Amino acid sequence: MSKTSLDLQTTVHVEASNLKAYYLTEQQGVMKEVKAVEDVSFDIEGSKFLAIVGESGCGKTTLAKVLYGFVNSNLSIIGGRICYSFGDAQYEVSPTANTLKDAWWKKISYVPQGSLSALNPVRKLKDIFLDLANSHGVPFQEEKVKNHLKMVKLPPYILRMYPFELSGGMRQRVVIALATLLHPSVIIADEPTSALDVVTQRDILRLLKSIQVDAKSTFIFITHDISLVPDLADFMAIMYGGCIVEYGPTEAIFSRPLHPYTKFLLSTVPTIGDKTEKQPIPGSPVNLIDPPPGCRFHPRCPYGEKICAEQRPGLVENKANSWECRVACWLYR
Amino acid sequence: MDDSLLTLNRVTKIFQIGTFLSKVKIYAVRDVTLTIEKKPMVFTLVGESGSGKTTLANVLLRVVAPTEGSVSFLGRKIESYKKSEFIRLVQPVFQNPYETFNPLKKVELYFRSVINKLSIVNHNGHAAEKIIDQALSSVALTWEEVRGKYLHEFSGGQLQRLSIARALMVNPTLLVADEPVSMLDASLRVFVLNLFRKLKEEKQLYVVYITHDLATAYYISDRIAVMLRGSVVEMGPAEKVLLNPLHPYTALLKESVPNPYKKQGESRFEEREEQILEIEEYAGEGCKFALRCPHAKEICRREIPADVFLDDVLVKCWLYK
Repeated sequence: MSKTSLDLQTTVHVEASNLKAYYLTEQQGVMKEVKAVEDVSFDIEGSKFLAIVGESGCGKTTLAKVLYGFVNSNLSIIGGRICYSFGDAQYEVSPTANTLKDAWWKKISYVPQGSLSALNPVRKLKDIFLDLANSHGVPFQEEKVKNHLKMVKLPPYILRMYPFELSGGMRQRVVIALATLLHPSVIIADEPTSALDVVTQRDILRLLKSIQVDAKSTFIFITHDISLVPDLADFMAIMYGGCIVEYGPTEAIFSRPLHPYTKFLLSTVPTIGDKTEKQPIPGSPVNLIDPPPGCRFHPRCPYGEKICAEQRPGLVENKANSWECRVACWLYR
Repeated sequence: MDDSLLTLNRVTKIFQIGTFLSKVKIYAVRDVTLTIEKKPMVFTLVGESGSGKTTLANVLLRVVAPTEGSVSFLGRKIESYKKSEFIRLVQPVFQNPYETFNPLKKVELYFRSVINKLSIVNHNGHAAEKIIDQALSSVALTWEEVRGKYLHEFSGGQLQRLSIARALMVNPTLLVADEPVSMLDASLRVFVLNLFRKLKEEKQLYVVYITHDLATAYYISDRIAVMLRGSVVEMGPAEKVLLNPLHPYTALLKESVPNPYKKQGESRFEEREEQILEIEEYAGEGCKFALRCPHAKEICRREIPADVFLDDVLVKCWLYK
C-alpha cells in the first residue's frame, strides 16, 4: 500500500446521528412500519474496531444495511443521517440523499453472512475477481490477485475453481479477499462467521483482526455472539429492539456492564469449566411492529419502574464510570 | 450387550463423489465403535464441520444405512425394528427449525398427525388438544400460542421449541439432536440446554447431542466423543475430556471456543500459510489431523493410530503409545 493512502485512512470519520430506519410491510391489508433502527447514534474516528452485538430481530442487520447505504423501496431512512468522511471525500446517507454508492468497494465494503450465496455459483473465482476489477475501472492483474489471496491464506489454484468446490471457511476467505481487494478504509462485516464451526471461526476472526491492524482500516463488525467481541473490538455497542442500549470500550463493558440487558447477555455465555445453571432472559423479544412504549426492554427487565414504561431513556454518558461509557437506562440517572 | 442402550460396532459409511472418471471415496464415518450405557445421559458428538457427526446421527436415526458395521438399540439391531416401533423410541431434533416444518402447512398439523398416525387418541377430539398442550407445556409454550398459525408467524426460537415438543410427544427413549442450538440466540440457547438437562433428570431421557461448540457441550454432557474426519479420536467422561484434552485436535477445539473472560494468548496451533482443502485431509492415510498437528511425526502421516485407553478415556493418537 502506498504511503498516501495510509495518510488518508487515518482521517476516516464515521458519524451516525439519530438514525431511524423503518421497513414498510403489509399485515392483513394494513400497511405497518417495522421500527428496526431507532435513534442510533455513534461516531468512530480512525482505525477502530467497533462491534455491534444483539440478538436476532434487534435490528443489527438493518443497521448494517443502512450503514452501507443499501436502502431500497422496502427499507427507508426516516430520520437522522450517517456521514463518512475519508479526508478527500465525503459521503452521506440520509432520508433525502444517498451518495455512498459511489464509494462502494473502493472506500467502503461489506462482508455478508452467507458466503455461498454471495458468490455466483456458475462462475469460476477468477471471473468473479475479474468482474469486480473491471466494473470498478481497475486493471486486473492476476499476480496481484494471487498475492492478495496469499494474504487471506488461500492457495492460488483456487482461482480455477468454482465456489461450491471450496469449504465454508475458504469461501468466507474468498469473500473477504473480494471485499479487501480495492483497499477500502471502512469494512462492514455482518455475522461473517455465524455459519462456520468454532475452529474456522477463530481463524476467520484472526484474519479480520489482522487485516484491520495491518491496513489501519475501520471495522464495523456485527454479531449475535458477545463472547467473540473481547479479542476483536476496541468499542462495542449493545443493541436491543432497534436501539443502542449501551456503548463503550469493550474492556469497560465486560468488566462492568451497566444495562440490565447487557448483564443478562453476559450471564448466558457458557464456558468450559462452569456447570452452574444459567438463566435465560425472561419474556420474549420485542415485536418491532408494535414496540412497547418507553424503554423497549422494560417488559423483560427485573428493575422496571414506572418511568421505564412511559419514556424512552436516551443514550447518555455514565459519570459513575471512569470509562467513557454511554447507557440508555433510567437506573443511571 | 443387554446393559447398553445403544451400541455401534465398527460403523463405516462411505460416500462416493465425482463422476465415472474421477470417483473418490469419502469415509464420512470410519470404523466407529461406541456404547451408550443404560443410565440417562447426554452423550455429545463434537467435531468441526465435515467431521462426520451429522452422518453418524443419520445412521442412528436409520436415515442413512451404514456401509459396514452394525448399530444395536436396546439389544436389537436397529434394522430389525418396525418403523412405527422405532420412531417411538428414537426421535430427531434438527438444526434449522425453519426447514423442519413445511411453510404451507399449519404447524399444529404436525402435532395432530403424530397423534393420528400413532393412533394415540381420536385426531379431532379435545383429548388430542390436551395431549398437544401437555407436550407444549414442557417447552414453555401453550396451545393458544400455536393454534392456527403457520411457520412464518413464529420466531426461530419458538420453532425450535416446537420441534422439540413434537419429538417428545411419543415419549421417546432417545433424542438425537443435531446442532439444536446453533441457530438460536444466547438466551434461547440456555433455555433449550436447560430443557435437555431437565428431560434427562425428570423423564429419564437419553440425548445424543451433536455440536461443534465445546462450551455448550461442557454445560450439558455426561460423556463426549470427539470426531475428526469420520473417526472418533477421543472419548470419555465429558468433564475429563474437556478439562484435560489428550488429543491435540481436542485441544484445538477447546482453544477455539471464544471465552469472553480470558484473553487469548499465543496459540499452540499456528495457522497454516495456505488453507488446505478438506479432501486432502480425508485422503491422508494416517491420522487425519497430521496435516495440522504441531506434534506430527512421520508415523502419523503413514498409519492410523491404535486405540489407547488412559483410565476411562479412549484416545487415538501416536503421542500416547
